[in-house]
Amino acid sequence: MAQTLGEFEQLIMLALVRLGAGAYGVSMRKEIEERTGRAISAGAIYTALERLESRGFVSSRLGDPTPQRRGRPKKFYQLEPAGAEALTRSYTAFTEMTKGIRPKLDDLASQTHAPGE
Amino acid sequence: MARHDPPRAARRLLQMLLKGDARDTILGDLDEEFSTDILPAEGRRAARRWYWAQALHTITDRARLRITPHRPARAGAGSLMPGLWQDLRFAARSFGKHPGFAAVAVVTLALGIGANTAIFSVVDAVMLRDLPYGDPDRLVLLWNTSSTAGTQHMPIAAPDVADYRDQAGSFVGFAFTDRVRDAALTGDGEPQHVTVARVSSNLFSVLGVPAHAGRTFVSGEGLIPRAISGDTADAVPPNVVMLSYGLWTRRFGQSPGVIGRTIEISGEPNTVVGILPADFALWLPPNAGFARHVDVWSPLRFSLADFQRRTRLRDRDSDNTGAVVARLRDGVTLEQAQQEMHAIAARHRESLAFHAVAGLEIQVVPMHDDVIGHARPVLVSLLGAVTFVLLIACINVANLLLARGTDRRGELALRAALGANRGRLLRQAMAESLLLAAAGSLAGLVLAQWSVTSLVAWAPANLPRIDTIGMDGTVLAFTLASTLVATVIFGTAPAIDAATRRGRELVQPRNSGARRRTRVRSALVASEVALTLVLLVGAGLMLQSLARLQRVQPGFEADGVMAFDLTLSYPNEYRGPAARSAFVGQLEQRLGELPGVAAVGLIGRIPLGGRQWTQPYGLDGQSETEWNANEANFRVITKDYFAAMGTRLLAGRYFVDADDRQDIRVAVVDETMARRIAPGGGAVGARIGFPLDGQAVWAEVVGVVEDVRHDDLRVRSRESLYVPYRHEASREVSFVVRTTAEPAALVGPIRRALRVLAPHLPMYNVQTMNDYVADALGPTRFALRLIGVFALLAVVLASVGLYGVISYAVRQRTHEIGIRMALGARPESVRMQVVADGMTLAGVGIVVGVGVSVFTSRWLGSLLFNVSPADGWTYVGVSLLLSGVALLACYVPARRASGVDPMRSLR
Repeated sequence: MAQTLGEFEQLIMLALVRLGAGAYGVSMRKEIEERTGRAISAGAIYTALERLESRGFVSSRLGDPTPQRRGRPKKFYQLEPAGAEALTRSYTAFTEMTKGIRPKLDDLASQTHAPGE
Repeated sequence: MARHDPPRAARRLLQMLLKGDARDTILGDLDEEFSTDILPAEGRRAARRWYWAQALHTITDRARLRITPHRPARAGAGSLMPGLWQDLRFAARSFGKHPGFAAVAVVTLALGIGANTAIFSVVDAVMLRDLPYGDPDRLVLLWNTSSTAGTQHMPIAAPDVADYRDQAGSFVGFAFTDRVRDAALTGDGEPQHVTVARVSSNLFSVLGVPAHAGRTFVSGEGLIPRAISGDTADAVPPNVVMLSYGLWTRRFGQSPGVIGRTIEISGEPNTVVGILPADFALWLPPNAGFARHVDVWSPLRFSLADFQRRTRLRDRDSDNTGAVVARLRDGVTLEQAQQEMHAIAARHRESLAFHAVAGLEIQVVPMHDDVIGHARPVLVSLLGAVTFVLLIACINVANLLLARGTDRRGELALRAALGANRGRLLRQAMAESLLLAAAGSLAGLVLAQWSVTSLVAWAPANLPRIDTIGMDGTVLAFTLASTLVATVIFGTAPAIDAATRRGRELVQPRNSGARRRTRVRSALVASEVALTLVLLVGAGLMLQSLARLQRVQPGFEADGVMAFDLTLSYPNEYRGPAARSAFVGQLEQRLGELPGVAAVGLIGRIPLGGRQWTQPYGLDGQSETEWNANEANFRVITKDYFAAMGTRLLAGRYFVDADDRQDIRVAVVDETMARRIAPGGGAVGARIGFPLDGQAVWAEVVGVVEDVRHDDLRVRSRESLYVPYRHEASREVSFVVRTTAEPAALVGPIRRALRVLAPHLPMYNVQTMNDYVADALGPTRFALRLIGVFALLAVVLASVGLYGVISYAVRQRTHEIGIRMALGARPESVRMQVVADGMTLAGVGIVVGVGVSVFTSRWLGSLLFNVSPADGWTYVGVSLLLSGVALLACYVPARRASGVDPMRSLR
């Protein structure tokens, strides 16, 4: 079965790679928001994570409850080998397709803006 | 601290909608981020907004991501969910092409759902929510009822409570509170009026309410049994008080340092031991005559003398009667407790003369029922009214959808011809309805949130707990449920209609189901008219009630009278009746000298002020024990009181200066009592007995005045007895000032005059008599306003519906009308025909509506005043009004029909 990843799923898995061992909802959301400027909700993150977990790409474990969380445990996530492989595939495909196209893209982008100005 | 928590409603919403692990992790994440990042960085308001945004996004994102297939969707049947998503998207696109239609449907539903949500949030706050106590279901209130005087909700004498405590095993605690008193917070700063409740020290433990800060009272701080057994005159326990959260905030800026501090109340030192929680209030039924807001709580201390009165007359204004709150022992039922109290009451009637004479019984009522019972008729009626509005809204939308189905017959038939099965068409139609309902309920929530503010502003003062109103989980769940029910109601007929399309309709020139559809729509419109009539009847009856209530003669002339209250209590001043009388005389004189003032008077309990003072009394020849079977309103007044209030004299005379002499006993009675004294007339000169300052006295009746509605505009007061203030100079008094000018303009001069005489006495309840009357009209006006708004909404919706159906029918019959006109029919007769069709529908609706109203208007029951639920004129008037509106709604399409050009319609 072709294991394709959506864009949002890729963002989540990339955040897992960046954060390493301490990755959980709050830290992942901050990471993604800071780097991409995209505001995302806790609900969206966990829905995607649950889905990735059911596909064997990530795994989770429960941490200790803290008072700020009113006694609710954190749920830490980490990347599984299958996930790393899928991410690598997507990443490779993406970088291969993007090699050397930046000038052209910028060109196109400026063209579309020109008439309006 | 509660104030720095995430918004409760948002949390509850998430708790409701999330399941399993995800709930804990998501809530945990949001709480953590809220308290560690957002709150410190952006402040409370922004943080709460952030939390709400997160909660709503979480819900919608999860719903969206779960519905969206994460793999490329397989074409074809598939599971229901992806198909539904597709249907919803299709529906959204199709509404996008007809934004006008969608907007009308959504607005209609929003009005219906919004009105329901708003009213339900009131019902939730007032009726459904638990009282803010520990295990509130086990709390009961105890009252005396008197079979001979026919009185309910009578306060219980404290010594009786001591007996209950010794004898009744059904309860784990009896707490006692006496009437709330007015006092002044003195000491530093401007004297401030405060209300003081004196309660048994166990009140808070019986209620299960802990202190917000500091402590509650401990036993020994004014305990009942000790005081009664009272063989030793104990040393006076320390004077301690608890403050309400409101007073703590207003006066002390929530400073924790106030605990342990000594504050001065009416000049007496009191040590603050604790602060009560913000949501704490002692809820008692409003007709029991206890004030709602209490600023200061003080433990009761009984003096021995109070209890020695026990064998004497009951003196209802004395310190020793009050409301009793008790907690049922585990495993004891209400009936068992009531049986036990019946037995105790029977023993009291045997051993105590006045219990026997008054026929005193003890009533045990669940606290929650007792507190909100009186509000039930208003709320149930309003809930009924909004349900009708929602039904009408649903019918309108169903009609719109049916009409649209006809316009889309080509599209639907094509889909049927291409192989869409019934289920598929049904689902598509339901998806459209669901989308409309969802949009409608979201808009309705906004509408509700917005209208709740005016609801609270309109609400009468006696609607308990209205200030706790808010959109919480229960309210949201109700909105969700009513949205789903509405969807089923308005979506079913159009869905069945869509599902029964046949491919052959493509080729048939006339659409085959048209006649059936017209019948369905006609039935819907007729029922809509019927529902509207029911609401209009309700509004009409309420309008009549208000009009009649406004015409009630209260026994005084409210116009031009300014009133205010004082509590004459300050150390070393106003001690004793003579000092108080002297002060009152001076103040009256000063006020009388103000420009524009026509008369000044004083009364112990102002009419419609919500405070009672009743006394037993005796007619000539009755023994003192027999007095207890009579109960009268007891009012102390100064001589010009009646003149200032405009209460008319019917016989004899008003009080005069000479009546102030202590060796003269005189009284003025009202008409009702005059009839009791001398049924044939001639009450003036008769003798009447009553307790005065603990002594039985006989007085001569010198005058008879008209009846005054002391407690409630709606009901005649019991008989009333007036005596000169000098003879029983109470501390709590109301002044009334009649002016020839604008009453409100007097407030400043009055305040200045008072400040010269008594700089430390705060004035309170400063309002005109018209304000008192307006408050008394409050519940009726509230119900009228809301039912009126709903009826108006119903009329608009129903006429839109009628108009829609008639103009649709005209469009359907354009061809036929064209033929008739070509054959020589005159435009007037075509017009007549169309109007007649429409009016037949309206007529059927009105007849059915009248029938239904006869039953439903009984629900208004106690809200109505002097008007029968089957009031003929109301029904006739409302039917005529609705017929007029229906005529208008039919006439517009009728004109269009008569303008049909035969040539064009036949082509």
